[in-house]
Amino acid sequence: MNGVELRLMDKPEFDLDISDLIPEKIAGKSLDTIKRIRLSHGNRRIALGDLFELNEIPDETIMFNGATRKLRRIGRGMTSGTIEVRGNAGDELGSLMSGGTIKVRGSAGDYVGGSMHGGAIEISGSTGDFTGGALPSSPLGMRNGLIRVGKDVGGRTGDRMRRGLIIVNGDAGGYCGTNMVAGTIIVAGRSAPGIGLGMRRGTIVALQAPSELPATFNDCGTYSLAILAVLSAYVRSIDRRAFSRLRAMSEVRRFTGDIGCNGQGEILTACQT
Amino acid sequence: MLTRLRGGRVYDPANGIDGQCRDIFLQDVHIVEHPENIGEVDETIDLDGCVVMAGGVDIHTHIGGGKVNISRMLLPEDHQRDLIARGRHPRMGCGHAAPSTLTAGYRYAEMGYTACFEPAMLPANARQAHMEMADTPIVDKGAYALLGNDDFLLRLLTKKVDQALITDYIAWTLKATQALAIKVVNPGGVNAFKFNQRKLDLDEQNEGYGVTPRQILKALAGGIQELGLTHPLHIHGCNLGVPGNMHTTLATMAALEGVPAHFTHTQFHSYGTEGDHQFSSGAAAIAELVNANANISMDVGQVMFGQTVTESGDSMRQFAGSVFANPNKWVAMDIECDSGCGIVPFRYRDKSFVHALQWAIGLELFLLVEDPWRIFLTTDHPNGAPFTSYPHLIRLLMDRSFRNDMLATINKEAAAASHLAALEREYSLYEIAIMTRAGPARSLGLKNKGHLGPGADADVAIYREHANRERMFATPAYVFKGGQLIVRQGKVCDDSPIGTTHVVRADFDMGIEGKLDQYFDRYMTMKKDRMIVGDDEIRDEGRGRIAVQRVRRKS
Repeated sequence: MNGVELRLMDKPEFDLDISDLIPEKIAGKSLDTIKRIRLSHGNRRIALGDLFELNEIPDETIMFNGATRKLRRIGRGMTSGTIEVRGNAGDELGSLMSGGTIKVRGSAGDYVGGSMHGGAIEISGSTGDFTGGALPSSPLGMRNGLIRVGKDVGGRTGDRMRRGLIIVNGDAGGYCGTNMVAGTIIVAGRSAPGIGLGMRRGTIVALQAPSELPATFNDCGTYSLAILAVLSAYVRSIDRRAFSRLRAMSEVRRFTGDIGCNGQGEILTACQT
Repeated sequence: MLTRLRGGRVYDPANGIDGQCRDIFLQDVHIVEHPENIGEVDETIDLDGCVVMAGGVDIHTHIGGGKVNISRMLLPEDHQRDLIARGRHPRMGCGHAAPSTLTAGYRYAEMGYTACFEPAMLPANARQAHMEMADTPIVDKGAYALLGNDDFLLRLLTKKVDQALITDYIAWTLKATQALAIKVVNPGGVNAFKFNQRKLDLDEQNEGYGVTPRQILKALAGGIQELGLTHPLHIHGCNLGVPGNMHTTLATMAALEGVPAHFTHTQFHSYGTEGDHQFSSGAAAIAELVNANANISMDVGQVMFGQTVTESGDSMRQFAGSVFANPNKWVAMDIECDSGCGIVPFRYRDKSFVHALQWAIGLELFLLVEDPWRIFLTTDHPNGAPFTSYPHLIRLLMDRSFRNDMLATINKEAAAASHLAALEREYSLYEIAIMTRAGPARSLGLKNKGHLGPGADADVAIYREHANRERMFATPAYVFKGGQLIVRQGKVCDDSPIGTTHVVRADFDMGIEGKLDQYFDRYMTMKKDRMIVGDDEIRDEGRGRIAVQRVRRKS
């Protein structure tokens, strides 16, 4: 199968739920059939062809060109294949996905990779709140997979996360990693207050020491942890920028918590000297 | 405007019409006699091959009130998976097990139902329940106020006050909450839960007050009889869902000593303890007692397979059931010391022995209770299944071979443990019309509902005759509400009718007001007068209507 390029002809007036446009659902369909897919637009349903211009492209990719924040649920529930977004993506990008890759050249809204089970999401810009977090109705956040964010993330990144890796090259908003059950979050920039509240297990690597840690985290002193070498070797193949900063961190200060809920999670930060 | 519905086969049990071809005339909001001059007719609708019934009346469906809202908040996935765009319905909505108010109203109308009654309105939640029902389009509504676990009543019983005072309190509650009847949920048990009791049998004392469920039932059922309410005490008894609870249910029926009572979702109260799984059907014994006692009526609370949510005021039993929550999240809470609330999402599976037997027990009850005037068709929406499964349920009752086909697909052990295969009864359209329309309307004292005689409200459901009864009842050809055509071919075409709120009023001694004032000032979070829901709040400047049933007190 060849890929398909979707170019927005006009700025849509309302949010568009485009969860039907995932590789496995449109595989083997002609452009005409795809054009007839109906989308909810406000309180009406309209044909996809009325909003997008469709072209066939050689790569096996679904490409959204000139995307805007109005495009919600891109790649929701996808299991394989590739989606590329040029421009900004809306909320719930890659939510519930279990395989495949989504690349965004731009920023994305809230719930990026919300409750995802697997696959990889790569975003060059920033994301909104609850990146890798739990969708409303879901008891757990991200259950596996990888999310890479080039710039900043909003609040509550990795909320109730269960497994997987989130790499943030910029700053993290408030309450990063709240109620984490397990998994790893790496924040290269600054992290706002409230980090790790309600953590049960899991690891947050804050490459810059957070300005403020919750009172329910215990300072366990400085370590040189063997796991850091393993982690940086893994990250090397995924994200060179994060790798170079992670490698520079030979010793870390370890905080465990949240002891407010008998948590055994850890926040690893650079040693302040 | 005079509309003639010509030539349909009419099933109107309240007037003894059993499938004869008749013309029905609708004059504005009422059904009228055959006019002398047929030329006056403005519009004629030909109903060859159609069945004409009064609009459906659902006597027990949770469509408004605190717990419905809590279920909606607990289950966003229930809404996400069932979205309805504008176009399909006049206004958009969502929800399968706990639908939005709009969706609930439209879906009822689409099945030919024109009146629905919320059975569990906590007095403290009355205003919210009425506002929610006001947002439910098209259908008429009403609610039953919950008593029996409230601190005030239990205090009265502890003090062994005169029955007249309790009767006054019942009448005051009906007026203050704009209710149509009184319901009791796990009498005294919901309260006992707060004193760390995890079960309460009919003659067991509540540790906080020393009051037994039997005392509460007698006080309430007696008070209601004294007030002369048409609908008797609406009873959700002790030990819901507990294997062996059939004995409690039988004892509760006997405890009433001839006083009228309505036993609700009886399926959940008809379990025995025989067999390898210590779980069996008690339907035969329950049905036998109901058949022998004309003072008792019941609705079934049929279970249907699939995802739903159980919502009940019975926080004691819901807490016990919370281990079965699917998806795994639940809520149990107290509300203003009035009663409780428990929400447990549930998925009934046909391959599960217990669930399959529950399904069979419900059907056994339907088929074994002989008098359709005393058994009503419900699934206790959404506790057994969402109300949208009624057409399927009707087919199960009317079509024995279909029922046996379904029986063959459920858990084998459950199918073998049930007598369902041996039951040959098939409901007729006449009997269905009784149990979904005429019966509930008569039980609730709605004189203008549930029948097609002159003077009745022009609520008419017209179904195109089809051998597949499920298809027939799922998509009515036409539905009229108050004389307006609201549904055409199973699709809402007009949602302008405003549903009437039905309430009942009985006299009471004003002395109760002073006692309640003192009580509210001493114990409650609000003044008594703030709790009372006024008539004008229901009328809401023309957005609602109120119909008052006045009853005369006997003593």
